[in-house]
Order: sequence, then C-alpha cells, then structure tokens
Amino acid sequence: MKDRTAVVRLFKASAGIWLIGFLFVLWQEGDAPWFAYAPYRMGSTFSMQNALYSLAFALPPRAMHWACVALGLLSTLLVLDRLPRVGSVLLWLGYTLVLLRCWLAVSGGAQLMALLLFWSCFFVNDRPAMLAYAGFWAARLQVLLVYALAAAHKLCGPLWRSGEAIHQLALNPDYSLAFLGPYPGSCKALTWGVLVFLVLFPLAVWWKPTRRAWLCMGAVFHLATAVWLGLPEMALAFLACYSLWLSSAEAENVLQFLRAMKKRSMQSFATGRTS
Amino acid sequence: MPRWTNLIQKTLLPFVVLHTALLLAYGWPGGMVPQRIEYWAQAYARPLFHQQWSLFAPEPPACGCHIFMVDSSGEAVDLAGVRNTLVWQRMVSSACRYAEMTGSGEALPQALSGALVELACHAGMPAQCDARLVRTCQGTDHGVEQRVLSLCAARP
Repeated sequence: MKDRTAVVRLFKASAGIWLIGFLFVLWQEGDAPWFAYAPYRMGSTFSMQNALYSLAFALPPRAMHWACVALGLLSTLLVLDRLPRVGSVLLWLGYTLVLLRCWLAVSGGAQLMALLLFWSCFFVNDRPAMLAYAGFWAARLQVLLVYALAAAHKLCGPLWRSGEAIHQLALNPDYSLAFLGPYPGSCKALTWGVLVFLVLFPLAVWWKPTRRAWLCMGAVFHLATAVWLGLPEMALAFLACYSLWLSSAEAENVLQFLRAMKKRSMQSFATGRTS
Repeated sequence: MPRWTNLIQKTLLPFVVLHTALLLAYGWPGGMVPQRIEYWAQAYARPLFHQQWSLFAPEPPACGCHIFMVDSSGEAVDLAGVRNTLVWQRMVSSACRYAEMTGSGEALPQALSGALVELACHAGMPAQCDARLVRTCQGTDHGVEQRVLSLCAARP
C-alpha cells in the first residue's frame, strides 16, 4: 500500500477549512435556515429516515446554532489533524443532521462533503490499516461517482446533447452568463466541452498526465460555476475533494506551499504589530 | 490477528462495492433502474447518503424565478431582495425552483409552503398567505408569467 499520509493530511485540512466556512455562514444567518417542517412526510413506522428526521426537527433553532459551533470546533481539530475517530463519527452525524434541518440551503457541495466525511471516519486514523485503505478508496470512488451521475443526467437532456444548454443558461436572468448570450457557437462548444469533461473524468484520473489535466480543468470549471452561476461553496467543496486524487508528492508540495504561506503571513502580521 | 480485525477485512470490500453500487442506482436518472433495485437503493441511501447530481439537468432552467410575498395592502416584496447573503439567496432560489416544479393548479407541498411563510417572517414581513411566483423568460418563451401561490391553504 502506498503512503497516503500527505494526501490524507491535505484532505483533512481542506475539508476542515471548508466545513468551518460553511458552518459559519449558516450560523451567522440566525434562525432563518432552520425550518420547522421536514421535506419528507414522516411515517408512523420506525425507520432510520424517520428517526433521523425526528431528531433533526425536534431541536429548536437555538440548539442548531450551538450544533454549528460544536461542529466548527470538531472541524478545527480535523484541520489540525487532532480529531480522533469517535470525533470524526460525531462530526459526520452532526453535520448530516444539520443538512437535514436546513434542507433549502443545501447544495451539492454540502452533500458531497457529508458523503466524504462518512469515509473519512475510516481513514482519519491509520489503524487498522485495512479500514483506512478501504475508506480512502471508497472516498475516491465517491468523487468519481458524482461525475458519472452528473454526466448521466446531462446526457438525458436533449439541450445538453444538442449543445444548447449553456446558451439557455446565458438567457436566464438569474445567472451572470448574459455576456455569452450573443455567442451561441461558443455556448455550443462550451456545452459539449462540459459534457466531455464530465463523461471522461472517471476514466481520466487513473493516468498521471490525464489526471493532472482533468483536475486542472475541473478547478477552472468549478471556479467558473462559482463566479457565474453563484455556486461558490459547491466549487470549493469539489476543490477540497480533489486533494484525494493527488499523488503523495503533489499533496506534499501543496502542503509545503500552504505552510510557507502561513509562515509568511504570520511574519508579516508580527512585523505589522511591532511597527 | 484479532478475530474482529479479520472479520472487518473480509467484509470491507463487499461493503464498499455494494455501497457504491447502491448509490449509483440511487442517483441514476429515473426510470432506468429496475424497480426492485431502486427500492433497496432508496431505502439504503436516502437517510444518510442522500445525493442529487441533476443540477441543470436534464434541462437548465429557461426562465428567471422569483417569489414575491403579497401583504394585506397588496404590496409585493421580492423575497430574494430582502437579504443579500449566500444562504438566503440559496434558500429563496431553491424554494422558487421547487414551487416552479409544482403544477399551476396544484397546492404547494406542505413543507415548502411552511418554509416560505417562515422565510417571510424572518424577512420581517407580517404573517401572510399570498405569494406570487414570477417567471421571467428571455429565450423562445419570451415574457413574464405570474402564478398565485396560496401558502395558508397547504400550511401544515
């Protein structure tokens, strides 16, 4: 088994930072995201779904504020690589309950993070090695599953197949793509480009040259959705999850870069204080 | 090696494979998965592993979508314009898209009408029962379409 320490460390740091940001944004919105009614009708029979919804919707909004604070602390431990396995299970379960309760505020990025937090319970510690190994690979497969499913859904749409989808989005006043409106040809090329990217992503990541190219394209694609389609948290969640598909050397380089950035910012902060 | 470690090793691979297969069946476009498999996939995935990857699919939304709350004096306030925060905009936009999916003659789902009333309260509006869904289209269906949403009729 290859050494995955740097990859796992980078994933923990990026996922933890994303979680802190997301929970803070929810927390500062006050009582608004915590709805009183569940989106699914809860039946009288006992089921996992009923039990979870009953728990999530029994808590008052004030308790959800505190849940955000507690989960933020657990996320900080995740960033610092100090979160024990029990803590990671609590983080996953607590975060899942939070998502159930604020159902109108949830995007694909928040869902993806919940799914990867589940697998991180397996690889948050190195021992037992087999458990960590299986969890790590299952998390990687989850990322591929997302792209495969997104591609399958888009291929079912006639507008995606004909290349008109992005032009339709450009004509929608809710999004900031109006600048593409006068260029239907470019929209067609972009639509098919997105389809090729999504369809080939689950295959491209298995070979080093294509993996780098696809991860870079993915970063550009998700940042574009953040800027022009208003999906910043989804874009950042995907970028955090890309760390799972980096090689150990690449992850180590990113970590070193982040450490250097941190050191430089601490130094400039200290100089600023003394002057 | 302890017996439980051995057991974990033997069950892990089948679990990961089965888990991934069930999630694939759960998230695959509707009508393409055999009914029995879909049932088991839903039972397994929905409580803890819910995911939906059909953003802008099968078709991207053609029209802008806004919900206006109408007060007793008949004045309409755009919910999206009340707060300019990420979470608020996401909630209002999702509510509008869900309401858009409901047929024009149908009542809104209870949870959605309840959520809209709650959003209006958080926006500092008095309790109200009337809202308007406004769709602004610029493509081939150029124009503005309005639909009245009766929130109290379906309120839980």
